[in-house]
Amino acid sequence: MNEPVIEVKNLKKYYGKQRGIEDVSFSVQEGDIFGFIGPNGAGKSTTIRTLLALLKPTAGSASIFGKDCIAHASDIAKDVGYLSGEPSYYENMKAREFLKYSAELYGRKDSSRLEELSERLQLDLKRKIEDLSMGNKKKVGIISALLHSPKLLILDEPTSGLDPLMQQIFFDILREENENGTTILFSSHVLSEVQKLCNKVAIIKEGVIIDTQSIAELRKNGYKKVSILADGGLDEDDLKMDGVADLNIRDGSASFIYMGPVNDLLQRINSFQVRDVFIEEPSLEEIFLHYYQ
Amino acid sequence: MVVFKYELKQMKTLIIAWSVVMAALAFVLIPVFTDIGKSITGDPQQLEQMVSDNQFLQAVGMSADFLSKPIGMYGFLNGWFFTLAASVLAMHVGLSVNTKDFVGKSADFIYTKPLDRGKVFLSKLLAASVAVFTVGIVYFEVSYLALRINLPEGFEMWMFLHLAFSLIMLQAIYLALGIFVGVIWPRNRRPLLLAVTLVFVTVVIGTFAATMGYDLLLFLSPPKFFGGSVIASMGGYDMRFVYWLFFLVITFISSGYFIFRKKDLITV
Repeated sequence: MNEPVIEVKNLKKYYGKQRGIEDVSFSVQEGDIFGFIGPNGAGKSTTIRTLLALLKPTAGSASIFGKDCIAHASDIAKDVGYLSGEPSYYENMKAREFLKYSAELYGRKDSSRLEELSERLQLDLKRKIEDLSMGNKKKVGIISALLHSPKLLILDEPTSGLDPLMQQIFFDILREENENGTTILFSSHVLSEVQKLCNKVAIIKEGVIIDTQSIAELRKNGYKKVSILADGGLDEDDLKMDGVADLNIRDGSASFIYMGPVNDLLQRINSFQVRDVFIEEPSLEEIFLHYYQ
Repeated sequence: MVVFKYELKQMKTLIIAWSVVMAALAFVLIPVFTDIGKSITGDPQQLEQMVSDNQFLQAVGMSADFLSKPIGMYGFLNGWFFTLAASVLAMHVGLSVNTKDFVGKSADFIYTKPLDRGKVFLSKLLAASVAVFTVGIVYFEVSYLALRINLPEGFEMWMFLHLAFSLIMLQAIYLALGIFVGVIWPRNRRPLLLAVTLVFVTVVIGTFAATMGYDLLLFLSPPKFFGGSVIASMGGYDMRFVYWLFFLVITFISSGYFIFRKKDLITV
């Protein structure tokens, strides 16, 4: 069993009377690519900013590499790369100068990594940051987070602003980093990208972690997306059974998410005059919506 | 030192621009005012009459005795133009060295690096001090040169040193105040406007206190700490104000430091 790289226990953060996060607990093991998903305002960024000691928790604790996030912030930061959700840097600096600054803050002078990453991400280092598009600013942030080859990457909504091609290159880089031993905490509200990249996921809703599972588990757990078209139509009572969620009845056909014994489902379907039936694996989005209802 | 180096680099243009402008204005205005001084000091009675009839000159702490000295008009110009300009600069730099990271959202970058928050604060303070005092020192040297050229008959060197150095001390207090306010109100989007306003408010308090004779209120007005006529009459600074200034500088900076280390860093 690997040691947890991140351990968060009952973390709570209030901004005065306003809730940031209510009760967040999860752990990220070494080598994980850990997805952290939830809609805007759920508390993802607050959790991350507390892990980075930008915010002091109201209650609870968080540790990285076994060290308290607040007490040992600068020590922990040596091995952490962070990309904020809305990367914004010193606008009057050129990209190269800024990234040099970033590298120097980690005591790095060698620019080979900078050249390599900027080439892969196709970033023009000669341009001033104020002249860069949102996507290119994001690239600057990505390079800055990766420059010192950190043991842990904390990425807050990292793909916003990147075009699909660049997202693919970025994901390839992340996979390579992960293969080289980097643990990744990947916060997003775009579930398909979490599905593509992560091996585990924590789902946060209104400041509370409502589930933590492996992606494979999440899919395997019996979630089925079912659509039935029956002669004579269907109504809600026909499908009143344990495990049915997100039921939609329209024009006599029904669609729903099912979690439970497949046999029970087949028996119930068998009791209708079925004209057509689809049983498929739901997308993470659909499972996710299920959590939110 | 990395933060210090890059912060200073970011302020390079500001330092050069302010130094050039202050130097140019010193070169242009000092001859004008020293000439005015020469013309009015010819008749001591007229000068006495002029000061006693002019409430503004009294409110700004000018005396006939001080204005009659060769360096008198320089003291007036220094106290009522250059020190205020330098104070606004110092306050602005003190404010923006911190607020820029919150308004520009670069706080997430700088404060997630392997540097203690307090060290980043001190590096920024050091960079801001170098920027501000560089402008002060350039002014100091240029104004000396301008006086040497325009007052060939000579002037009281000790008085020049006191007057010109008061600009640097005022920069110190406004820089410290700017740092402190920047910590308390990091998401201020208009640091220059705030700097001008605060300097102006302290000037108004001082002028009001001097006019009404409320001596205690003078302690809230740094521009009144080192008036030319006080320097002339006391043969130096009023040391109560010097101690008070140092106390304020230390208090603002140490409070800012301790508050900043503990507070949540929230960007706009």
